[in-house]
Amino acid sequence: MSFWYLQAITGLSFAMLLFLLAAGLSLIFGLMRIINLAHGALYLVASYLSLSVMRGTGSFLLALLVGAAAVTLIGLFMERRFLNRLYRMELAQVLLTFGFLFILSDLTQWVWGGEPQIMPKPALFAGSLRLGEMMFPIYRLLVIAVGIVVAVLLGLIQQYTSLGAKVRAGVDDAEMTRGLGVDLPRLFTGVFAMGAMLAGVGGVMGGPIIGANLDAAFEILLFAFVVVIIGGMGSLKGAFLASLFVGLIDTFGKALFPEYSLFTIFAPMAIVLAIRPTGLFGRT
Amino acid sequence: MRQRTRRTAMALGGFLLLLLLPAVLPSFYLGLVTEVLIFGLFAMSLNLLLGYGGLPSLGHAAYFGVAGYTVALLSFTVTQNGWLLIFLGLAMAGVTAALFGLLALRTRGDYFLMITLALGEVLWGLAFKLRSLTHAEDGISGVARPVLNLPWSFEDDVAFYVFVLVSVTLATLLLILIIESPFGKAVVGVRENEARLQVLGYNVWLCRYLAFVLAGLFGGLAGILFIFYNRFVSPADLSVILSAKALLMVILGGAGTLAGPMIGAALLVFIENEVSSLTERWLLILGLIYVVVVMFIPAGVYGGLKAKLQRRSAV
Amino acid sequence: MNALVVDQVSRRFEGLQALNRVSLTVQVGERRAIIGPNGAGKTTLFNIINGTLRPTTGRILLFDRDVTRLAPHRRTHLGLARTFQISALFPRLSVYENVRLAAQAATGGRYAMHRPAATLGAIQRLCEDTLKKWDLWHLRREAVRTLSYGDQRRIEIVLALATNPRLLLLDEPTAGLSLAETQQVSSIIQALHRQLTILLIEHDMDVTFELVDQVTVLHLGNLLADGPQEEVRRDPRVAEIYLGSATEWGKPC
Repeated sequence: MSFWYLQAITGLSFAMLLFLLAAGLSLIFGLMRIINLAHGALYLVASYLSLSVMRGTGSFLLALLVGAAAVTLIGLFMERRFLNRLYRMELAQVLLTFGFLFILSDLTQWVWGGEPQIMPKPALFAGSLRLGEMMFPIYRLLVIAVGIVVAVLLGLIQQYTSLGAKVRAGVDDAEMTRGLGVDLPRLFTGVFAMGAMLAGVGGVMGGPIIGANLDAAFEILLFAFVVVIIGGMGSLKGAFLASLFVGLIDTFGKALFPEYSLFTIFAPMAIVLAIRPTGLFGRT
Repeated sequence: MRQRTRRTAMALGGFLLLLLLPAVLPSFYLGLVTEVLIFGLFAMSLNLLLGYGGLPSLGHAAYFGVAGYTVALLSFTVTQNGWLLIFLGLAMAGVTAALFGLLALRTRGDYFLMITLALGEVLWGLAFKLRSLTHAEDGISGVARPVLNLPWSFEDDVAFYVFVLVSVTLATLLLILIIESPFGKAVVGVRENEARLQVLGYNVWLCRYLAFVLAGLFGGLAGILFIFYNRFVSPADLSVILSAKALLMVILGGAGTLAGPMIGAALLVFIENEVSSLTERWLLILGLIYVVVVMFIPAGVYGGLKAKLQRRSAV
Repeated sequence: MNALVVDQVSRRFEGLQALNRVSLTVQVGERRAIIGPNGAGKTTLFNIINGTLRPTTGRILLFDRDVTRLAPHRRTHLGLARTFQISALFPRLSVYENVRLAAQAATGGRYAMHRPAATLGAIQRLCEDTLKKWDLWHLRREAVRTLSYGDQRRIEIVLALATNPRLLLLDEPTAGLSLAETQQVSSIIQALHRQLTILLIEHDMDVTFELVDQVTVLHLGNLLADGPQEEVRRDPRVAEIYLGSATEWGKPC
């Protein structure tokens, strides 16, 4: 019995990490039409940085702040200096983010060495919670809580603030939104930086579970793309639901039929692509 | 007409020079030139889609890798006959492209990039996870050079170089023929103005689809040559990293030009070789190359030069 | 035989009835204008006839054949050709290459891969004839986007004609042209052989009445009037919508 509970907790916490990445990817793609391949590298930079801060100071909160702030700055730099000069040149933008993917991830290997490293869990959340027969690892519950809080916050912002309205309008029709007097370049910068920040939060939160690990960062980026494709580009709701789906399916798939684990993710994606190329909740 | 004769003469001269290269070049550099030819063909196949058809694929490694895996796997289990292996590798690459094309060509531009990326990653994931078949990241090694029932053995590096040179030359001639044919002109028409081409009576979807499958076939041929050269195939041959590298080669040389992709491939292969011998930070340098090419030479080295020359001669 | 039958065609876009049960019949050899203020649904109707858009309800018949579900390029094979309101050529290609794409389509070898296009005699001859006939030979090497707008409009018509159509749709062929250029384009259209059926959208009423016998008036997606041009011009409802929207209706013809 405890197998199922534990797998569910593992799956849900993985799903929330995916959501932190996919939300940014999806909004950036939906609004700016940029496939940000550097997103996984931002995640990686944040997890290495926070690891060092955690080791140096022992403060998880400080690690979180530093990790998120640093990659937000990198995101700002990428967008202001490079991407916004390539507006609507989708191929050039993809290749540029690809370049940043190499630069950033190789820099982390340079500074921190190639070995995967696991961040110690913050003391407060280190143990397990006992409920009758069942044990729940507290840190994973924290990840789930953070994911849900971020999802709710993003949902509220999108639904009830003028910034959210602008983003929604921009996803629908960027040119029209510009025509209505929205400062599109600033909106782009803001959304890109916010996406970077979320990736940073994901990188830090993932540190004690997945660790700072180049291959794992690539893999989670790949999963985040699957989430975006299934959920629909530009849709927060889609990103959230698809994260849950992919996180759970993958965790149970890995546990039950390891040889076909990626296939359990890719098969649904291929079906979605065949039926609705723009994703379940995407604009048609 | 005189220009054509001159071009033919130049191409023939170039071919003869390359043919004589083994006489003067140490075998290490001969290996690099072999790689340039193979990746040049791979980049040219992508250029048919990107440069002529205006379709930026981020999953072109799929056909390269599928053909490579097909040859590797079958060479141990089914046949040693090189011709048959080449045929089967091409067939699998073609089938893959034919299937992927059906899905990917329902979209354009940024979505097309995203979907070709996703489809390519599906194959990468399969190669990575189907350990019993593919040995995952360990890959499949020890593939023999092709046995083609010719008077030569291609185990020898020089003979194999000549085999690659002849194959790439023939494939290039075929690609040029396609690009210059009415079909090739129609593919450019799709890129320039789809709606107009359609009312002229062209099946625009068919033009794109044929270009997509042809690009997959030529990409597969490059993958076949590479597995015979490298004797080893791994998930890296299916990865988005290889797909993006091919895009970089095309753009570095000049998209939509005949010679551009080959020049881009040559530059990248030689730069990689030089940099890797100096430092371990090749990926960092590669990343910088992406940024520099995209920001400062978007028309490519050869493409930019050609445009400049044309402008000058027009004045 | 009818060249074109539009049968009860409606088209809804999100929240907008662009066309509402429009019917019209065009006989072979007829020259008809479709007029109406902006937003009348004229270009939508063209797009439905040509197959770029599907009607929400209703049917389209070309030369007595139901083509409602036929792809645009298949309609071209049945003898339909069109021009676009905003010049739609292959802007970065030369005039010669533009015409060659049309010539390839006309000669049937449009997807051939076995020979370079430059060595196919039939295509070359057709290109040469077309370019010389329309006085474009001296411009053949120029990229289309570098030409004057008048020349581009002319090439637009040349490309449409190069596929040997039986029914030609012209979407505002003189929009944006100078007076002299308008005269030139108008006389080209007038000189086309009489078996060619022409359907024309035009805002310039002088041009319109010079070129057509029949007029169809659309207003906000509805068919308002339909008949010989003298009749339609006398129709008070037509005058009303045009005076109401202050266009060139009042100009002397």
